[in-house]
Amino acid sequence: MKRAPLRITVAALMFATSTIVTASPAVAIIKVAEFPAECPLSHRLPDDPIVFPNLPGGSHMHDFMGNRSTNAFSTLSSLQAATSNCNPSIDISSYWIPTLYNNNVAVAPSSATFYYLGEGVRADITARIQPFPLGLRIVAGNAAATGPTGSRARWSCLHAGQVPPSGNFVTCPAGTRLESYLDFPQCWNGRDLDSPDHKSHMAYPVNAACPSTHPVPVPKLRQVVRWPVSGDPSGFRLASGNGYSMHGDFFNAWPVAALAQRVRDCINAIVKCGANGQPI
Amino acid sequence: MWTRIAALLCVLAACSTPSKAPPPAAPSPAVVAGTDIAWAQLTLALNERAFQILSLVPDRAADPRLVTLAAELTSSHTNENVQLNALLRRIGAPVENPHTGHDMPGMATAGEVASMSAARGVAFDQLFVESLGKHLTQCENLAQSMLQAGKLPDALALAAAIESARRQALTRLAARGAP
Repeated sequence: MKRAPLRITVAALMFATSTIVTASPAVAIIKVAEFPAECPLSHRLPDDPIVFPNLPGGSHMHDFMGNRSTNAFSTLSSLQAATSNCNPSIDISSYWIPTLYNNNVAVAPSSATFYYLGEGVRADITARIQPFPLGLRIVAGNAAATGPTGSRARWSCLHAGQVPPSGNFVTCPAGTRLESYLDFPQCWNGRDLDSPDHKSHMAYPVNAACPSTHPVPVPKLRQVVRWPVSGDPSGFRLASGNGYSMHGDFFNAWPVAALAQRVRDCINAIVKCGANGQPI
Repeated sequence: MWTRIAALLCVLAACSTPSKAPPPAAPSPAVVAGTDIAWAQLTLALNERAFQILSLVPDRAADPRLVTLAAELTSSHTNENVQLNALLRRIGAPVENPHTGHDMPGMATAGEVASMSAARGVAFDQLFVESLGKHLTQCENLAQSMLQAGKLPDALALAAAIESARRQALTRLAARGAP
């Protein structure tokens, strides 16, 4: 609803641009290194093909987004044989998070957006960010956090910026929505698609650069999930525990060419792109 | 002469190629044995949680067969955990899984443990049998999955022993209900 006027404005601008300044159609680009994948809830299972591979029913409940086939037995080839509910549908990667419960009733997210970003490192490093290697698996956030300070995920409220973000659930004003932000590590060790703890093959930047142990800059994956709940958070819990146990799992199955095109044209070039990988 | 130089250049070019190529993604043994690690970590965590309910039995149970079963399970679970810990150390995997401290399927929750702590006699027996049944069944299911997908021979042997032990314990638990 809110976006419609903006779209008309952009369309009008593009029309004006193409008619008046035909030689420079890229005049309206936004200088932000970003492209998104919007992937709603696909299915729910007590499975985790990264942390508990081949052990169906071994995990707490997860909300799976993106690839429609993900279960305890998923591999790169099984994901590649399936389809996705993402926009863009070419992104057949799998994303999953612990299920949110409100008074023991599972709540479906109202939206889940996975932003691929060039921020977090120096501009010269953004220019040489590489695509995620095919089959890369990452667990981000601290599922075992025992307090808000141990958490990397942040809880806030959509349309209520006055509520300070917190490591644990926040009280969102009526009419707003609970939301969770989680940034994945963006430096790869250049060798392993996974590691025994599913984290140590990746690292967060230090002083806006990738550390020598993890020298390969890849996009910063930012997971933004919203739920149609607000108010007193005492009835909220995640399948993994308190709000500070929020974590996210990513299994990269993007077709290589589609991901490479987006990284080159949106991230390396510092251009805000839409889900189709073209400038907005 | 020129052929030799060309051949030499080819050799040099070929020699320089591997250093330019990215290092091969050789997965570590711990990643290859992902199922084995996950199964060992989960079974360890399930056993640890089970100690919380097993320890309640001697002071609360009405049925002496439960007291005997709990004592035997406490002993066998302790032995299993020694072997599971040794297995994880040998693989070089973390002993704790990323969900340490969580209520995973099959585990008694803090609320259930509190209810059992407060109960006595037949009421306790009912709560305990239900909770222990969930634990044993989950361990049995995980061991069966492990036997299908595990990679390491010693881990598979341990899974086979645990699967058998859980099946026998469930049979005893079921037999207790018979008049």
